[in-house]
Amino acid sequence: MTELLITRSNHLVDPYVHVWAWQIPVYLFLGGWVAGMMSLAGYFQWQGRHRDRQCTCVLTPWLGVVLLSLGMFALFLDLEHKRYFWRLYTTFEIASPMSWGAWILVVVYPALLAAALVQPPQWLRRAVPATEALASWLESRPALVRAVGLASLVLGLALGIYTGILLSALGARPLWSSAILGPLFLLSGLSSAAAFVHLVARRRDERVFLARADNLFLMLELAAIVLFLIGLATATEAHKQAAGLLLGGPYTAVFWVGVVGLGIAVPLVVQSLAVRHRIQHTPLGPIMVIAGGLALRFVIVYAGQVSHWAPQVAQF
Amino acid sequence: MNTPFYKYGAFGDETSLVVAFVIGIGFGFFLERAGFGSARKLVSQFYLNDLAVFKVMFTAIVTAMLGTTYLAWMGVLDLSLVYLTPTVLWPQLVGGLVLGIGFVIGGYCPGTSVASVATGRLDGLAFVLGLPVGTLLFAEAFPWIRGFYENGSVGVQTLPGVFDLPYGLVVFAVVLMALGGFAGASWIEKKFQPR
Repeated sequence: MTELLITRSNHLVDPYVHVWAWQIPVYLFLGGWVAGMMSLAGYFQWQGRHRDRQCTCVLTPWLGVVLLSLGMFALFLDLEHKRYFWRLYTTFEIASPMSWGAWILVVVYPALLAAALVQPPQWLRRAVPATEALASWLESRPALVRAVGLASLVLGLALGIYTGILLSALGARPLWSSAILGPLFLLSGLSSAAAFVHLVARRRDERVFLARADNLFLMLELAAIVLFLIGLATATEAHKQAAGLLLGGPYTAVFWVGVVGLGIAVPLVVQSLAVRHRIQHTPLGPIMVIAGGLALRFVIVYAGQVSHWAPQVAQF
Repeated sequence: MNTPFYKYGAFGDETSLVVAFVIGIGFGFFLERAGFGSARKLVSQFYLNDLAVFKVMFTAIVTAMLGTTYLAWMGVLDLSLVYLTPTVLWPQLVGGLVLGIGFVIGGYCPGTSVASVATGRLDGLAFVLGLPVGTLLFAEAFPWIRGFYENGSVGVQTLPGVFDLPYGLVVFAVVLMALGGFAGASWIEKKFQPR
């Protein structure tokens, strides 16, 4: 007789908890991107720039609704029991980042819609006259518009940092076990958003402002990556092995070339030259920043699932 | 210190790609800053009125050659471990001709096209997008052209080996050739200046 005793794990759990596929990094990327756009739009509305119809803060809340919905759809595809997703909203677990995220997303949608209705596009005003009336009502209440902008800014920052905290709260994966992951994902979302808004901005002053802002976010993101790696490399053996996945291990090339090189360093140089009028503004820098943001989520999610506390498993 | 670093195991495959990226970005940056991100500048060499590309590339070859020679002479670099592309005579001749025709028509080679895209040039982007398309077509057509692809393979060839001359003498001759080439190029440039 052969007795098989499983106390903790089985082959589906060890050696790798590799249960998250493309849906999760795509959701984290889109969530962070929308969070960044919300923050920027909120900042512009808070400053009163929405009165100019060419302000990007008129467009980005609408785009945010679409992109966030796509991200939520990706998340939905990942669910094992799709019919029961609504149960997340029957409770609020204060110690669960997953629960926080679910409820933040519920609050984010109305905030995005409120920001969008501050200055609805002409076709919507004609199609739904109520939006015209609402916009006029809001226009006569600048304090309320500033409050909407502030709410958008704060909720954007919360959503952006949550995408990182969601992973860092999962202590079973040493690579994710870092307090820097939240700020890193937030900065990446802000840089992707600034890059995109810089790409679509019609006003020259706004384009230059966003290119400068993007450069600042990229530099901070680089600093966060350095701190993230130092934190891992100076912690326990499992954390060191997790850092090794990105420092000589199987994710080294895609991380340093795709994320750091092409996603941060090269666009930083290209945009810095453009801001100083040494070369013309091109779509290349922003596109690389956005692609780098997506690559960061893929690398961190995939490498994180390979990292492990058991030393024999983390070898590569 | 022993080099090549990769061959001596100083870093693995993954890190070697990062090193290649850093070197490639540096190469591209200086190409662009030298004006080689402009198709107009690049094709001027074919009209013989601006031979900067010839001068820069020959300078790069001579610099790399002298660097590797001195490093090998000092015992730092093991030349026998440096990778050399094997010579496959006919396909390489045809390949060079095809690349040259593309260069004259479009104004870019693969490296300079990437450098031009970095500054937002759309003609360079057409080249960069053409690279994967061409690679795909080549890969799909490979079963039919395999015979030609391997025709004329003579293994790794070096000038000292072919001419049976001492390595140092060949290096010296190439340096003299470069100096002569630079002088000749400057003379040609003056002669073909547009009036």
